[in-house]
Amino acid sequence: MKINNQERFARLPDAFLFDTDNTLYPYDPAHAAAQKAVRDKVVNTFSIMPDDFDQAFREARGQVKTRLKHTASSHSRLLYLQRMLEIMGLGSQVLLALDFEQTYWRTFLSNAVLFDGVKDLLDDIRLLGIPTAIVTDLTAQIQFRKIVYFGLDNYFDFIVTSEEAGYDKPHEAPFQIALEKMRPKGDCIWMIGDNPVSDIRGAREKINAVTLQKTHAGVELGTDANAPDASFSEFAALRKLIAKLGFQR
Amino acid sequence: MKKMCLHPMFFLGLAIRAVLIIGMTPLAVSDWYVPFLDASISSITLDPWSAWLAGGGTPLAFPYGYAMWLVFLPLTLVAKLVGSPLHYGYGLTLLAADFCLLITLHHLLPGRERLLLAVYWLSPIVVLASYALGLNDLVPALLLTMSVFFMRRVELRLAGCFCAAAISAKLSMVVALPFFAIYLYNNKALRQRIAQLFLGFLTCTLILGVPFLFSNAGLQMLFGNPEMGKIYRVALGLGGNVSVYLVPLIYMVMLYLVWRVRRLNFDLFQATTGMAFLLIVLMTPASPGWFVWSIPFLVLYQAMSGRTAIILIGVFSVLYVLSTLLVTPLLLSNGLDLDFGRVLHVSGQLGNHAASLLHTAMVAIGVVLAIRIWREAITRNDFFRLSRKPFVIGIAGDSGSGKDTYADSITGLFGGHSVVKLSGDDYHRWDRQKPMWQVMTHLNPMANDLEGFCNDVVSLADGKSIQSKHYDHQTGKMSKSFRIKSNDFIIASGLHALYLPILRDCYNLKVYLDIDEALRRQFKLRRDVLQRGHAVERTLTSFEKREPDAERFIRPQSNYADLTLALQPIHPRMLQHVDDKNPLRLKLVVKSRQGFNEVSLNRVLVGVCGLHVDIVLSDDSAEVQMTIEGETSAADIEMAAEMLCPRILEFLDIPPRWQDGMAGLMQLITLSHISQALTKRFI
Repeated sequence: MKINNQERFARLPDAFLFDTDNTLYPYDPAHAAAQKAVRDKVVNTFSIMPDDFDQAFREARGQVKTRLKHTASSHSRLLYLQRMLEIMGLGSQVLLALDFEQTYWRTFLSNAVLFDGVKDLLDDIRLLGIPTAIVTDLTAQIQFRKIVYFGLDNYFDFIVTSEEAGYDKPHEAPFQIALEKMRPKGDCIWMIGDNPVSDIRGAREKINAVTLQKTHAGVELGTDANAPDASFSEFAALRKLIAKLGFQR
Repeated sequence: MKKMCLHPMFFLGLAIRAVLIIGMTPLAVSDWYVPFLDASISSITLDPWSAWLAGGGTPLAFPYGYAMWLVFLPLTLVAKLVGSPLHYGYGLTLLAADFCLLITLHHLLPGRERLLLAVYWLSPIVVLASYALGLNDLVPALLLTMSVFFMRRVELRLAGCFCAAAISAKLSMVVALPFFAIYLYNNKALRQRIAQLFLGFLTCTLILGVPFLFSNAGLQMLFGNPEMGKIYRVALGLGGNVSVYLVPLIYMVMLYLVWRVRRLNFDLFQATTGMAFLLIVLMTPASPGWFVWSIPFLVLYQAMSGRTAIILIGVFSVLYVLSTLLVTPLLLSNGLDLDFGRVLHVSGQLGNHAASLLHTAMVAIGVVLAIRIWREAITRNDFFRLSRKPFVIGIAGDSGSGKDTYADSITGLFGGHSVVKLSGDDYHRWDRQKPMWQVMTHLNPMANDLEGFCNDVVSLADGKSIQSKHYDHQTGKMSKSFRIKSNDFIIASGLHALYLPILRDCYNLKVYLDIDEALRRQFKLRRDVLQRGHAVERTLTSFEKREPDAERFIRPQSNYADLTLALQPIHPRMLQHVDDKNPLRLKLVVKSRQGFNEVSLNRVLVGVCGLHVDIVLSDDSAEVQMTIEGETSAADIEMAAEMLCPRILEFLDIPPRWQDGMAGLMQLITLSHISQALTKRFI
């Protein structure tokens, strides 16, 4: 655990906010397996080359993201796949788009594994009686599905998705909505996430949260304006910190 | 892996190994292995054994096959090319094999990095035998562990290849082969794939083993090796020249015990094989390297067991080190030797006595370990306990309610090789043409040989074979009787499968199919006319004729079912307009009286399969009713089953045939009930 601003960790927080993707579980392996499953399915269905798929998908994703900017739908696999089929000259192909999307998420979930110690940490927080919420980008449907799949639905008090807030992080809306729902007793909020801009800078600038960045392979540690108040690679380290502060309390 | 390789314990183990590779020159390495390897790379030959003996070398130098030679060749060659002492090449090869074994064990035990480093990487047995004594047993141990690893991943061709390579590296590894064969044969899902293992084994044997057979010198060195005779050392003299050799005796008894375990899963396989290895090495004290064979299995056991096992194996390892060091001096690189017997003034007769006492203590702990493995890893193993007796499912329901389709879908999960089906239709008293059917319907219990059905279910549940006949729906006649063998899963379906109290007592799970009546009539009409060739009129008449008997004899059976599955159209009016444009959409109503895990099921059905679920508890809370609607796929059902009842997945076929839609849902719900019913065996 690397603490950059020791003074911000004088006491336990009044609420915990958690990002989901790449914070509670490693996103890249699950995404890679899911993307491969979709690619294989598309390649087999249409007898096209994998590179053709990659190119069409990349183009579709770019177009959807440009059009929808920083909203939940801009991450929608269904929209990417629908647009990809259109770019391939096949029309919208509603059934195929749905089928490919389901293949993506099913493979994604079966390859997603929570980081060690996540449930233990959430249990510690539950026993301390501190409210928790998830503040995450993407649409509610799939994020809810992930939470149920991981068996985390009983651990979190609230969830805010960017679909609900209308904006992705680092916009202040998701953070503010989370605080409105939680009504924390004080103003000390801890935000735990992996993204130095969306989670770390966003939470500090919008709600003055104490920021903790989860780091692992592929995650860039925030610097300067994006620097977190603390960073950790193992949830066990965060548990130790919380146990220490809890003991002092 | 990165986490493991950056751990201080890893560096400590690495440092110990480096010091020993640099600081020690074991006799076996300097006198046998390295000169042999040196000779074989000095003159390019594919038969290094002949070249070695022709050059006057000792037959003891390298009594191993091609796999061992090929493993040591590259780094020895590199050492020669860079001009460094060849025993560094030998030592580094051992280090590479050691690291590969650590990685393989890591794949077998993901997330257990600290344990692996503590009990394997810092194992005194591995370090002493490999780096201080220079013994090369790590190589066959690695190859065998890789074979076990691929066995677990059901990549049987590779498992066969590595098994053959392990035997090529050291012939003694052949002792593992019967355990592999028993595991694959007794696990019926794997038995279907046994040919793959043989293919891999034969291919590798052809490449590594057959050329060796053409090397007379190689064969001479292998079979002239005094190590082979060590298994005969421990013997009970029976007078005259006849003795009972204990090692082969124990080995044969172990094989029998493993055979008697009957159905083996991977954990049972590795535990029984490990136990056999442990007992064999305990009885052959003069071969310190052989202990390395049992280390991977002991590591797996320690991961499964707890602190006591770790402490026992720790003490076992220390005793091994002490007893070995008392009788085996270590040779340092500078030519000096380190004789602990002399240092402790226990050389000579006294030293032998001390070493024997230490060894006795070690064998005692080893035997305790073997007993613990048998008790904890085998007889307490979930799979072992659950698979002692066949699991019997009774399925009742009216004609056309889908009993056969349902039984087939359950059979698809466990595999035809593991299921025996008994159909109530085969117990109709008379052929269809007989006059008795004019006064009695098939639904009347008197028209069926329920006693025979019951006796046969009891016999199958007891593991015995039965003689049965088959009712041919096309001809309406019974076949001649034939033999049906019992199996792991018995599915007894029929109109009266839950009718007799004694029958109900036979079942581990009682299922009643309570299909919507209009839907049943539609399904039955389609089946009887299209599949069984009955006339439409006759089928329609039979509905009316049978109704009183259905009301009296069939439907009351639902009161005795643990699980009632009712398939219904989403709206009753849907049935009136079913055609290609308006396909029938169904919902499943599930009633359970078994302390159903409806909360977890609800989670996966809603959260994973994306279905609509209503749950209603009966007034007295004795029954749970779930109504499930929506489309779901076989892949979703599979994922849901992995979350809902992971323990039962080991019983399934490879791969199980999951189904889409309502049939898949029925599979999932039945599996969760089977899982619960099996759990009763723990109570």
